[in-house]
Amino acid sequence: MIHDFTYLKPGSLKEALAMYAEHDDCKVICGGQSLLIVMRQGMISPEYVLDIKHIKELDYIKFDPKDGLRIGATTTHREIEKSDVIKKNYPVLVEMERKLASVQVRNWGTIGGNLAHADSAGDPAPVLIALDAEITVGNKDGQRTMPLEDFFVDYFETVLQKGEIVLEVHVPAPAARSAAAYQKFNLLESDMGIVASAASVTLDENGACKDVRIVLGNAGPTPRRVKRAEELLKGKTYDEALFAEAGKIASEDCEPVSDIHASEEHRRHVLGVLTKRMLKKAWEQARG
Amino acid sequence: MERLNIKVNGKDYELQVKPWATLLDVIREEIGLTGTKEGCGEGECGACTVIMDGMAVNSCIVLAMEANNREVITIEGLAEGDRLHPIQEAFLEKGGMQCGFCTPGMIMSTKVLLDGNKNPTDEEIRKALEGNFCRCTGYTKIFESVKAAAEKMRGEI
Amino acid sequence: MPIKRYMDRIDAIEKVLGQAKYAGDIHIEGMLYGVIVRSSIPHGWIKNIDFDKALTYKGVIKILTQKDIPGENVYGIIKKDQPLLAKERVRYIGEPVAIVLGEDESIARRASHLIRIEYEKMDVVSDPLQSMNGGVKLHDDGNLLSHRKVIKGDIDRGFRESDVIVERTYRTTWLDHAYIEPEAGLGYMDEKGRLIITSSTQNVHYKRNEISRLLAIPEERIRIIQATTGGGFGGKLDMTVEGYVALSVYHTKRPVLIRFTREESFLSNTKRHPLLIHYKTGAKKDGTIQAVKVDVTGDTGAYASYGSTVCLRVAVHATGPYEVPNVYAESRMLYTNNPVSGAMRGFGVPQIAFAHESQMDIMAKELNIDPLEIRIKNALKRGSKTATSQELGTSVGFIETLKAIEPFWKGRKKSGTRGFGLGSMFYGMGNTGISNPSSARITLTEEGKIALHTGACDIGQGSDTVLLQILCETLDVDGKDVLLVRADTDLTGDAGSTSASRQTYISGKAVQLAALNLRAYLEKEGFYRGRGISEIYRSYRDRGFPPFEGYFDPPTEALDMDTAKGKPYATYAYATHMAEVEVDRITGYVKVLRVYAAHDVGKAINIKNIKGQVYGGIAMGIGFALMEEFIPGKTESLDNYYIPTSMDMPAMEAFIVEDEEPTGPFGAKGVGEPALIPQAAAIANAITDAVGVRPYELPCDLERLKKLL
Repeated sequence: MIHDFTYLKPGSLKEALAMYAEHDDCKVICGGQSLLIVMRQGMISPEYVLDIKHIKELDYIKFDPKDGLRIGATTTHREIEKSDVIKKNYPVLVEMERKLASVQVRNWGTIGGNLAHADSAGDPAPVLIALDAEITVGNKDGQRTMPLEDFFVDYFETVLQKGEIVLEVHVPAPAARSAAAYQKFNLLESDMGIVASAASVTLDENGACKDVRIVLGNAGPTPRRVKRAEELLKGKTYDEALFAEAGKIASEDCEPVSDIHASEEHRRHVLGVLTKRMLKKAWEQARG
Repeated sequence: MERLNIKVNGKDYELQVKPWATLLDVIREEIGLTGTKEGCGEGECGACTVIMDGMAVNSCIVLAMEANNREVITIEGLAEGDRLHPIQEAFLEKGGMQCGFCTPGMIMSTKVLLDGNKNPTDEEIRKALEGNFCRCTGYTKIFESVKAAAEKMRGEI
Repeated sequence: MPIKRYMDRIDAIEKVLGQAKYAGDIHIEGMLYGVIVRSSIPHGWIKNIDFDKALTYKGVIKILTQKDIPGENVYGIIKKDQPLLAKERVRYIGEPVAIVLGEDESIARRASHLIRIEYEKMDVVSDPLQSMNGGVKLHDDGNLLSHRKVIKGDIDRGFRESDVIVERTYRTTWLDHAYIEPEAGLGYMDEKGRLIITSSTQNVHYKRNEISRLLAIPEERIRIIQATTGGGFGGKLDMTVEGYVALSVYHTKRPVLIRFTREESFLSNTKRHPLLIHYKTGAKKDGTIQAVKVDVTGDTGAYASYGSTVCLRVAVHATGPYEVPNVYAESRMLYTNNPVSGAMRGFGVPQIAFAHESQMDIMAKELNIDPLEIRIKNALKRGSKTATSQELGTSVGFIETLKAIEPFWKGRKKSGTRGFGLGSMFYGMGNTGISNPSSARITLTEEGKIALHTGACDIGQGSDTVLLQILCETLDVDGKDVLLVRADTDLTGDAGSTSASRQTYISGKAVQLAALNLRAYLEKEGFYRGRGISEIYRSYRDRGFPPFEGYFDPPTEALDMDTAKGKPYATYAYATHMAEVEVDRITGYVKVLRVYAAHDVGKAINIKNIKGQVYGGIAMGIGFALMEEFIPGKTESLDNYYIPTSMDMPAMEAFIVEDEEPTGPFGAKGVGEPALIPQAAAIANAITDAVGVRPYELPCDLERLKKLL
């Protein structure tokens, strides 16, 4: 049962930011594929709901070989999944989107809405962080940009301040000899992941690891980097034992919780396995 | 109350709706088209699937006001007079349902799939229907119905 | 007798058009909406209920509690022990306490959240073993709902004469039916002051009887009509919304609709019984089973529902489809403060099949005998005696189901972490050791149609089509000549519940018998010489519309209370499934790749329907084996109760075996529950084959399997 609220529908981004600044106890809806569920469950009941889904200014996918990829906040999951330019340059994003919920949800849910909802089990964040993405947020007074990994604060909590909304996600241009992989682990093909792991690997001319990022999903309050494992891999050459060691570190450097789908122990185990597998997969793809 | 302009099955409606009403509420309760079902109310089961501006959406987790100035097609909008849509014909002929509660949503997801892909593979069919739960059939006859519908729409049968 | 075996589903057209009216789709001008207020605690005394805020909420018409029940505030399909609205005590989370009636659904729902119930909490009985040990008494007559034994031969001698003994313990958990249509019903008073209720249900006559008692009004003043029903699987056998709708109409005299959200459905509907099964099997070196000793403890939850049925059926089916000379099977159902467990597709037999089929495979391995061979060796066949000492005379196609699977079993190619498993079952058609008749009536209409009146509820399985098919076959007429009047207490006789895989077999037979009566009449009246029904109708009318009736009660014998000796069922269905799985050893992920299923259905009336039921049963079996688990107090919705999707389904093939049952219509038996029963067992055996460790607990989800690995 959704509680009463007043519906606000701005005509432009500028108007949206002005309205958001004016209204206390206001929730932004941008597709609402998660928001309406928590509202139905009575977990939140804002006085105002500000709908920005239809704002065209934020509905874009732009790619430049130097600048990289820019995705506007109101871009839907389905648009990302179907984007040729993303498929060509960031295939891992398309793979991730293909397994995000169902077609119906991807058609209406947006990337901005997903990130702002900050569900620790969300799919896009770990992949985007592995790709070194930045996020731009803004209010009526201005904008700020930060690494996406700094955006998340706690379960369902972000750095967004009053009046601030997500505007854009930026992913740097793919480096030469780089690749990324993502896998979530779930009982149902279309369900939220029990845990997930994303890895991106960049190799140097000699095939040694120049850069690596490992990000875990649903392994704690926020998507988390496994920096200790990243350090272990940097400068090294392909070695499955190293991937296993990195996986072991991943299973240690996380704080998953038990729920009805899996215990903390099992989650740690699977995080380790997935991390090992994703590193191997990304590495092999980066080698070409 | 908010004013909602919406086109459903080719017909324009101007309605006064509660801001928290979902698209499903409006289709069923205000417009009176009860072919679209609520199975879970949280976008898991797909029984409420309708086509909005060419996309399959779960109408139980879309606010009615988000559908303002948009065009919606429901199960009631497929047949033309006495003539069934080829997908409906295929589900009928292949017996692609048992209790039938998931059928409207299944058919709407199928329509979006086949409108964009005339000859889907088995895997593409499964993928397109992954958001539509069925508890009776084990999906087999539904897959057969989708394949038969694709053949009909390609003019092969 | 050759029959066509084919008819398109008669309900398909309205379903593809979206025109089928489910109860929640019906709208009557001026109707009210009801929402149930439920207990938030598992056990306690109700100290006080504060309605003030809810009563003054704009648009609230009335709030009803147990005080408003004019008749007896108790119901139950077998044992009447469940209050419609809690009296002074609540016994499970979700127990109904009050009904809020509002001018619209959101008003009723909003107001229901304003009601505050104060409880004095009581100690909670959270499992049947704790319940058995006493301490907290849940009902006046104690915590043991039911205790049954099936005894045959001399169990001790059986084990003494065995070369190998296998003893294991198995566990299963709560499952939810998860039909896609949540429970719904609409009621109103007609111009004559009769109470009319249309609901999503598996039985109409039973519900009329309960409402009559609850409201203290005679059955003639009540009419129950089945709406199009979006799945049942046993969950719509008990009273769901009907009692609340009836009480609400009674007090307001206005039409009332109650439809549950998915969350309410999960909270309120009955669950599959969690069973704890100790199983001991003894066999000779050559694989001949000598003795089976089974001890089952079940959690029946707060109220009886079908607990005693499950209790007995589990014991009667404990050996599986095998001839065992010495049997001692004991089964108990205990009350707890958990959700009410009741009927769910198979009445406990899917659980016990998981145990007996695991035992067969373990025994086969111990003796180094092929799993298929050991099943054939011990298989029930004509002349065999079951655990209740019933001699099987006719229609025992079990070995044929094994033979149908044999080519695939022999052709299996094991590689890596792929494995193959068999699951077999037998299942008694209809209720256990009690009379469970059905009736059918045929009338002629002025328009020249032959109308079949049946109380059988089609819940999606296809009885409407099958019963009309039997009518058409018997009369040698076409589908366009007949029409169906279904499940309406005013217009149809009692056909019993749609449960226990009984409608094709029992109601089908009643229809066939009614049709034979009509056929004799039509022959006399010249129908088969070209005289039309409209014309015959006139002489029919002149004779005062004599009805053509059929009645069938399968020949069973009551079971001995101490040993269960007797003939619980007139006939049994048999089946064998084979599953191929692939297991990720490291994560525990199991993918079911392929399933072959062979079913002895006696005679296939409608091949398409049978295959649909089998594929659907396989899907539910995959859920039971790998993913489904209802956790009281935690599982709330389809968001955290997983059922198989299109992506989880394997390739499937169904084979039909026909060993005709002489008492059934054209030789037919049922298939609804058999479709599901052996599937989880086959998967468990396949997992064992794949990775060498055996699941003793279902669902064998990722984590449980990983722990085993």
